[in-house]
Amino acid sequence: MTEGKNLPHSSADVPFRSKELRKQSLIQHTGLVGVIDEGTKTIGFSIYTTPDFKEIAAHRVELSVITPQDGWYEQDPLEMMASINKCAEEAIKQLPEQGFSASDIVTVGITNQRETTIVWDAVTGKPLYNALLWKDIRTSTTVEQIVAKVQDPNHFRSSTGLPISTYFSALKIRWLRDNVPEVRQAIRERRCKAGTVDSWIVWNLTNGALHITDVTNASRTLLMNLETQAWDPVLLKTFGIREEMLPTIHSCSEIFGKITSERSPLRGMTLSGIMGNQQASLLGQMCVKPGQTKNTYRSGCFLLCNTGDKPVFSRHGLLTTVAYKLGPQAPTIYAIEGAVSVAGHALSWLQNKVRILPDSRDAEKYAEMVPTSGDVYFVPAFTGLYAPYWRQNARGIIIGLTQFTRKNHIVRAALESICFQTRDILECMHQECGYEINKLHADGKLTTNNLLMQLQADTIGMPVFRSQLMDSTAFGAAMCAAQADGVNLCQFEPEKRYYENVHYDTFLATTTDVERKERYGKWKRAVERSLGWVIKQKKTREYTEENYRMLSSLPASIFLISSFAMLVHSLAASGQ
Amino acid sequence: MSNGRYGRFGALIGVACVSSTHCRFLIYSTKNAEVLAYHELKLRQIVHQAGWMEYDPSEIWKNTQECIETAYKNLVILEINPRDIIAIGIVNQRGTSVLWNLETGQPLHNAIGWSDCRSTPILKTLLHNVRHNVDYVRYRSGLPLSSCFSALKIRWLMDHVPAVATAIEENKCLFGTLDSWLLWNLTGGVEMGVHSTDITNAHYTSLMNVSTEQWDPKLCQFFRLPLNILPRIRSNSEIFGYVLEGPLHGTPIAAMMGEQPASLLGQLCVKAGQNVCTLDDSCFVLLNTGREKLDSANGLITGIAHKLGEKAATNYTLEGAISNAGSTVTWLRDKLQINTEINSNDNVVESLNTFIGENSMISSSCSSSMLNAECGLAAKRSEITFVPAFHGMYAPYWRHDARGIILGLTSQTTAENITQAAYEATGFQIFEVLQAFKRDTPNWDRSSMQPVLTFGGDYAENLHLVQFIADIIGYMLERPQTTSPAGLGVMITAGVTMKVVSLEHAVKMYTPPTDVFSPTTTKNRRELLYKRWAYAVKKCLHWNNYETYEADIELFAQRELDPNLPVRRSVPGSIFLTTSFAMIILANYLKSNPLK
Repeated sequence: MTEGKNLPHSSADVPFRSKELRKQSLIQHTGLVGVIDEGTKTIGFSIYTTPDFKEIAAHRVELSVITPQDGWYEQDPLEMMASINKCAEEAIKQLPEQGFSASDIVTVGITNQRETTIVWDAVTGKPLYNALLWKDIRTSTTVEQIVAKVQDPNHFRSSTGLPISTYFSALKIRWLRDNVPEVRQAIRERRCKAGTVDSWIVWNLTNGALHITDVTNASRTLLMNLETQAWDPVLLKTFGIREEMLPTIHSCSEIFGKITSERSPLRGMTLSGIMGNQQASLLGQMCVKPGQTKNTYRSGCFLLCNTGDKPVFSRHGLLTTVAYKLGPQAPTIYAIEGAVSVAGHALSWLQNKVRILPDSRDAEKYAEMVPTSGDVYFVPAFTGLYAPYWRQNARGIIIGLTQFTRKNHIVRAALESICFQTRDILECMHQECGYEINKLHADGKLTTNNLLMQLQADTIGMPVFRSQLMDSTAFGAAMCAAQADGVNLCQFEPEKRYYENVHYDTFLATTTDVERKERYGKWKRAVERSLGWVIKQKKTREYTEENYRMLSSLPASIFLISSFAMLVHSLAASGQ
Repeated sequence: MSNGRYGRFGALIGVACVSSTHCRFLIYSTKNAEVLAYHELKLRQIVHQAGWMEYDPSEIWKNTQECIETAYKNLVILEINPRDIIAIGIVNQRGTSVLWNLETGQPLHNAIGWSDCRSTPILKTLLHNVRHNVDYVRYRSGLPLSSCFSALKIRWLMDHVPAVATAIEENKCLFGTLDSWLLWNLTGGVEMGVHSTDITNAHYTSLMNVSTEQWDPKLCQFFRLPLNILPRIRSNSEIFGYVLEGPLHGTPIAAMMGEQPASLLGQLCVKAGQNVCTLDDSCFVLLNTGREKLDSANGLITGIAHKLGEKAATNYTLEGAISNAGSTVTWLRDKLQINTEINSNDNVVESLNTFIGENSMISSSCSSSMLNAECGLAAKRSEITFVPAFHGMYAPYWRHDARGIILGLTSQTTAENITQAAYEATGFQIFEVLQAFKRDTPNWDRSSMQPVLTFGGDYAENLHLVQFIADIIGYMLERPQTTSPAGLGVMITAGVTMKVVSLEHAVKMYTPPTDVFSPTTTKNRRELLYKRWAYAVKKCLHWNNYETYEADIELFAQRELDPNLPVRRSVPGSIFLTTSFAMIILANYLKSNPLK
């Protein structure tokens, strides 16, 4: 059922790649579902019919990213809300052409960038600081403090599935408390609220009535216990965070409440689905059996492998996370996840900063001008390496340059780096889970690059199924919202039901095992050379204390030695 | 010195100059070293595949003839008596190798450029045979094993070009560097051609014994080359022969020299301790060591500066060869199509840190955006490093398996940062050579030598590049306004042969005006930058060589040392000493108070 028709090498407009598949539906519609899709770079609102889940209206705008320093990434939370309201308004305007109206929208779902952390004042409703993006690394000092306290970066892995890393919300909340006076003040006065983007959106849509999050977003904070699916007291104490600041954890698919904000065109509608964007993509690509894996190609890549109803804890740096929980009483399904922090971002960097690529959308054209990358390897560890390495001190590297290397080789190497990083994670997933991964589902904006998809198949040696949907995230969130208890627009039955959206382009490997092994080995060595670049300029307080204890033992040692020396000398003198 | 037999410019000397990119003929006045007339033609570099570089020897000979004729005509146009030309000299890039048929005068193959890497497989075989000892033949030849010297190029030609193997079997083959090739053609070729070379070119073949100054049979045996194809070795300053044809008929060829030693002489660095750096596509740093022949333990070449006469004393150098200098900038411009022009305010931050202090309140309070707005700063220096080891690294590493690498990239890295890193790479490589000079000359009295580096070459015209280099190496750079230092050096050499010039005379009369560049960085800043460079170099080695993968792992297993290591190491020693003293006291006590 998950393998639909094969339409190789097609390339079409968003959101459908093949317009001819947009058939006139004969199915009786049961209602419309809206989805707020808040990604890192774009915010969108889409409207789907049920039960066939055809997208009939959508609007998207771009979000700006603020980078005050190297490694710091922020976004304006108020800009997020304004963009959501604008997108919703524009999408609703498209409904009359399709024969619908706003009143047909039964419910709304939310899918969002995860880990991104916002703190705001519960009294005024204003953010206390910009949103700290998931890829921000300013919290590296906070990571050092916590690791020094617990002595092991993987100390909390057995309860949360996560290592201690700059990535996760707990570190960001702690950093904000330690470094932003307004935040510290608000916490002291007990009027500070903290949450991920979904919490912030729900808070604004309900005029502050609801401070909630779903289990998929909560599993990315480093504060939630995977077994109990509640905030863990040990973790709250370790990070010095009060539970009252945090949202209430809910399942992904239930009626949360009604939208009451006067500023939103969605006023009066029900909220019934929340998912992190990557989990929504996993659902949207029908990866519902254990072992099924998907990759979303955007600025970064995120691979998720469904591991069924038991969490699998990784020993090689992959994250254990909740895939979905489709109702308060439904079973919790887990996934194992690997992140590639720089994927499409490398192409943007080549375009905007290095300026060897006039337009990153032309990457395919430029890379195809050369048959290989000319033994050039590009490891885009701009903010360190994530899964499966988790090394903060790595930095980007381009190696293998000769006088014949051209910019086309570097562009091709950038595309190949995405494929190799994906393979790193797939290798690790196979080791950890034990499931045989025999195909890869792909979605995301970058998958329009046919060369990238072919290189991916060549690199991993298995078929790549590219979703017809440019972005299956919103589709997954729509299904999640529609099937919620109490909404009952349709039932989620991927085993039995045919979904029109689920069509794939297929890319098959054209390389031999020997070629793949050699090139992958060389990639491994390139990764090795990207490590260890950052020289630490400062020591953390705990580190300094250790140093101090070491140094303070010296005077005592010297004193004792001198005393004994003098004693021996006096004995010898008296002996004479 | 003029005895009245010459015109108002005194005796004239012509110099035929073959560099890696041009053929030139310059006519100098010996009175003041002025270039009276010259002509220049571009040389075609032939590249069939990656790492190969060839020239057409016939084209070189034709271009040289044309340059001579045109320069001669220009001299006539200037109403200068061409009969005042008393001699000519030849200067050429060393290491470029030609084999030709002595009966037909035709080259058997294109000339192989000095930086050509096609003989790397042969180099690997040799290194394997001698257990990877790069310095195996250094005691005899003064050179490490590398593909940039002529020996391996001849070996490659013998193995891969059937015409060469046949000609050698039939004793019809002659080898020469470009000076030999030009000399042979100028003196009559097939009929009366002289097959000689000078000592500086002979040295760069890896086949000459640097002590005896003759071809070494053991070296020829090591490289499996026949001795009879080699030219006769002469000093730099002799009459090698006479021009047979053309407007210079009957003129003696009175000097031959390799390009880099000629630059050393032409920049008038004739005293021990003086440095010369020539910055072209490649870069050479030479240290004049006077009459002392130093064997390098730090990856440098023991070279020959000059020998100005058959019975004159030989002067030596230590030499560092850097394979990618200006060509790195060219690569950025041509291959990556990055604009390599740098805004003139790029050094503002460095200057600010130097004058105010890196940790001063003013310096730290200036945000980068403020500097960008007020100073027009194009790009602040970033944390990236570029090691342009495009076909391996030469001095002081001599590694054929290194490859170019750019390290430290972040999402903030810009094209300007990469350009700066490319400029800095040349500076770091020069700095490493200068450090190696220092380590190889531990007994020298440093106080009498100024830390000055004389700069020359095509890329030395770039003001910003020279300032960048001064900032990195911490030396004062002098850039004499000499048109062609190599040409001037050969002119002086020819003048010595014809007894119209002496070294003392040249130093006094030929000194040109000089630009000076001072470093604008602090010593601490330079040390920090160099530390990062050294780490980056480690990462670019071993890239193109799978056989040393285990060594690769071992190399990176040594991570950054624990900064507390000295403190930790003192603890066991302290405990040991304390315990020892305690036992002595106890023994003394028990001795005077037995237990029973």
